[in-house]
Amino acid sequence: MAIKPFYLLFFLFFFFQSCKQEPAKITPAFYHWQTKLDLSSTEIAYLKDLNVQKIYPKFFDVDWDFNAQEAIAKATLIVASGLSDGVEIVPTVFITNRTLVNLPKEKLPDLAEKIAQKLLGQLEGLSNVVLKEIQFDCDWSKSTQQKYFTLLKLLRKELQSIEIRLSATIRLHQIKYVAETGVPPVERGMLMYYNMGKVQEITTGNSILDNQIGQQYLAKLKQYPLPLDLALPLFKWGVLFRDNKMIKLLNQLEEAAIADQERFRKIDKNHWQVIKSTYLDGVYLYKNDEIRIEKVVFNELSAAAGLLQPQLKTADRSIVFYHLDSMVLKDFELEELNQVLLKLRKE
Amino acid sequence: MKKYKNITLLGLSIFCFLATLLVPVKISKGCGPYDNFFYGYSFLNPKIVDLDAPKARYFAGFEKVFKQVRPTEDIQQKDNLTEWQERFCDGPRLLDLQYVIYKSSLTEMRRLKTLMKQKNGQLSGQFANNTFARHLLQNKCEEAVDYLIFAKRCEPHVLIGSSWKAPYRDAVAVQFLIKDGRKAFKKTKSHYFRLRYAYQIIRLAHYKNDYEQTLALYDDLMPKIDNDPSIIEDWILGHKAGALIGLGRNVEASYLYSKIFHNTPSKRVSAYRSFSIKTDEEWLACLKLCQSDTERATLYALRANDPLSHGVEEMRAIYEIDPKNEHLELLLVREIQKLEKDLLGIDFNKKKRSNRRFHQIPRKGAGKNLLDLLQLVLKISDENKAQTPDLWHIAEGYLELLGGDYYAARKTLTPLRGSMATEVLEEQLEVLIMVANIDGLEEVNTEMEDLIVDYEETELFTKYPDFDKFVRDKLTKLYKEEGYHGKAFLEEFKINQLKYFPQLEIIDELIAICQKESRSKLENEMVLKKDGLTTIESDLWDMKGTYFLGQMQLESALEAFRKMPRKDRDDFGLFNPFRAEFVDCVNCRIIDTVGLNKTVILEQILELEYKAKADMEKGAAYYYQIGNALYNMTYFGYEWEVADYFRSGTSWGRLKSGEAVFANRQAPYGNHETINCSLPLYYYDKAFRLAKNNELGAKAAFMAAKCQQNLFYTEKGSEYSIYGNDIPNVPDEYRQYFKILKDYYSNTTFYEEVVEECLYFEKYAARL
Repeated sequence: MAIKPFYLLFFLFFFFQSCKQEPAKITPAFYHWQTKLDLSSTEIAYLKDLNVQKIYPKFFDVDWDFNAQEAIAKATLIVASGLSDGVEIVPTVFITNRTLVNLPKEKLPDLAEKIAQKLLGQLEGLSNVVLKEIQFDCDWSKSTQQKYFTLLKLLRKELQSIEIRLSATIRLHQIKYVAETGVPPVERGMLMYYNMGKVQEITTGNSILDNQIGQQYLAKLKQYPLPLDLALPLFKWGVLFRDNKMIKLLNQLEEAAIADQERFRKIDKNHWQVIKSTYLDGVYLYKNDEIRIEKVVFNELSAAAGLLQPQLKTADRSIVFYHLDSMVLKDFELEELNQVLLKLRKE
Repeated sequence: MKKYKNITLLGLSIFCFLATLLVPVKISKGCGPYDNFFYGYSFLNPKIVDLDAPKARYFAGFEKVFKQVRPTEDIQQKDNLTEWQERFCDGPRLLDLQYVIYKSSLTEMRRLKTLMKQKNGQLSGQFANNTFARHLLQNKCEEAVDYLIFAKRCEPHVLIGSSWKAPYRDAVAVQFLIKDGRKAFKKTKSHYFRLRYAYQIIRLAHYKNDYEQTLALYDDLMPKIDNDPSIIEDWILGHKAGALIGLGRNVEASYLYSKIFHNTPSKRVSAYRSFSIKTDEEWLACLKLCQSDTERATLYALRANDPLSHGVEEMRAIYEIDPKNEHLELLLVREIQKLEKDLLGIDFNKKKRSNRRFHQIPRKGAGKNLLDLLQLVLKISDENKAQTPDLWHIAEGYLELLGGDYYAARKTLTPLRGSMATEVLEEQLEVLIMVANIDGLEEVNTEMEDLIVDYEETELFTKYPDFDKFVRDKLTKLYKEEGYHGKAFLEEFKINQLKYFPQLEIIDELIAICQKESRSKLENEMVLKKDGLTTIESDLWDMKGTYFLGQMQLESALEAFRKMPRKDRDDFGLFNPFRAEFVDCVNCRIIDTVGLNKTVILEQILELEYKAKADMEKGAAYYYQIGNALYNMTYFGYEWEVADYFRSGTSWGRLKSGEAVFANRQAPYGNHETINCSLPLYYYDKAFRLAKNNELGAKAAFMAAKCQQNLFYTEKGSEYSIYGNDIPNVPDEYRQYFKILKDYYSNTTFYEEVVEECLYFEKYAARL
């Protein structure tokens, strides 16, 4: 019995319709990484024009105090200007790996309680925002994996009263070497698509964003067991070398700040030499020091979006730019950031 | 001028030294974990500068400054208590002062005040035997007690809190306290207590973040105090500086912090951390605020305090301003310590590769840094204007030494002997002359070796612990260059480390030293045992013989063992390897009362071979015994210690590399395992072929099969895996003797037994 052509066409139509996926639903967002949340008019304009309804403010850092031999909270966020009503915030806590290296495992419950209490205390003053998630940022290593994952489990218990999901940042190497580094016990991961090169080496070109390096890590992205959001860099910095050794990062260093030819000499497109000892934004530079400026440019960011889009399996994801600061944003037109978002929305 | 010319030559020599870093060096191939600590030498005694000077620990211990200092609160409390004690004519005990000032309650203090108003008031409770409380009561020190009551009232409002929870500040209550404090300040006669009230009041204003009020209070109260110098003044300055920072007046704040840093040990850490200059303009402005050369010098010292700074620039500036400034010499020591790490012994430092990889040492600009510092040191040394001219003279010689110019270093240092201002400097000079003499050694000879032993016998050699490794590393390089591999080995390693894989060249050289009629002192140190009489010659013969046994070279081994005096032969173990063991068990030694030494074992093997050739009837049994002895001495046998000193279980996993020597961190030449079963196989084969008794033939064939299986395991690229319990899939070419056993001896009793005992053979026998 032959199938009638009409039914065949009808079947094929629905078959192909079902194969065609909806574009990914993406939520544009920003990290806020300063200690004072006091948005400038430029920052507010970017949020508005990009229709950003979600912010990841860093609430505080957890670091190790070598003198006191204990974990301490640092750089606590002060919310100066009120966030708009209804904006979603994802409080983020940065935990240094050295804290986990040094902290005895029996002290983990105490640390979890302190972190949770501090977070809850800070949240008390933010009643007008939407809270669905709390994020923990730590570049854990194989040796600290167990402690970090235990801490996350303890934090879940401590925070159970507010019924939120937990997320954790995931570095590229933690995707590639997932068997060794493990998967954190949280609901979502935030893939940090930056800081991929060896910043401490003088021969490195751009350690913040280098798609040639980045794409080497992406092969296993689809297999990663957690749904992933994506963090993209907008920042820049200067890497200061003395006697060939990296000694400091100079945040948001602009070429204009080292344009004075009496003090600096340009060696090549992103390297400068200090020719006269001088202060630069609080750091004393000695003659013969070298500075490498690393920054993110739109073309590279757009290429990154192109590389990442086919590899991301999570249909519903946040795209988070790092970070919300008018000094950072001024290097990017609104339209450029929109294009990046659009590229990541396409399926 | 001549000295400045020398700098160019010195520069050349430094670059030659640095070039040597490009030469590849042999590193251990041992399997981790590695410790990647910096490895180098240091001979600079920090005590050559005044370590009791208030700033010393910030410079001499520069790298760990914040890890080493005691908690700031402790220092502050101690300083405060000492000052209270001095003000009360050293009467009260420190512990009593501590209780009253830091531990007592407001109620206790108020009760004390009440007692003062009574005629015969008696102290009770914790105050009953407190010397300070008694002093206050007996002398009716009302102003002191009033002040302490006020301080106790302030306490809850000035708690620092923890990083996890900011303390609650009650601004209204604080404002009331400030008001009360000002009233008390006005009516207090003692300027010392006025000062303390001012401190409490200003601190309250600062902690409630009212920076304008803090400054206003400072300006209002401080001119009204005419006190003797006190640490409290700098504590107050700290709050003023904090308020200035709060108001964005960074330069003024930094200037105040530099003053606090200079004057007040208890506030030094916080002052250093708070000192912050952002631009060249701010720096110049801060310099302009300075009232004296010492203050200006302190600014440069603070800037140089960063462990990664290039201190020479600041040293030059300090010298121009204030040649006798105490910071200058502290910085000199710190800069030399950095260069010491970079350059001392870099041509023979055995870990220079990991130093470079993990610590970026030597620094790229070390040579230039040395020249810069030397230039300054020469100038200061010539001008003789520094606080301790001798220190600069010594530094000059040491920097020449670090630059590799031993001749210049000795020429500079030697004439200084006996002229140093202090014993510490004299000792430092002597140490550096020793270092120069050792570093400058160029050839191996008896005088050189005797000099080293003479040095080793000095107190300084023990007092400066880096001498030992410095000498060893230097001599290792020198000996290697001149072909003395035995001596080089003993400088670098312990003699027992040779046992992992004995090296004939080293053993022969050391035996020759043992046999020398006249040895240098150093050679004696190398080869004499603890008793100072006997040498390690017998140990070396044992090592040589054991090496040959490991290679299955029986005659050579016997020859070596026979060189050892008979009386020593039992000292290297008694064994019984002739017993037949059909199941391998390396830890199944049976301590036999009639154990044999290695010489006797070999003599018996050779005798058995002679007898086997002479007596065809019993030949099979003799060959079988030889096979057993040799098999049991291999890696797989229970008497492996006859032919080896160290057997590693982990070598199992590496047998299929086809190698017999495996990497081991303790073994400079790797760890040799006696894994070759060819020779035992040869004798088992002979035994089975000559056997007229089927039981013996079956045993010999089975043992030959085991040898063959081991040959399969140890063949390069063998597919055998030590993991899992699967029966190895051994190719037929390695199963010839299993086949013989199965085909020709299946009717023997031994066959029945071995099928039961040996799973591998059972599986093989079950094959169709």
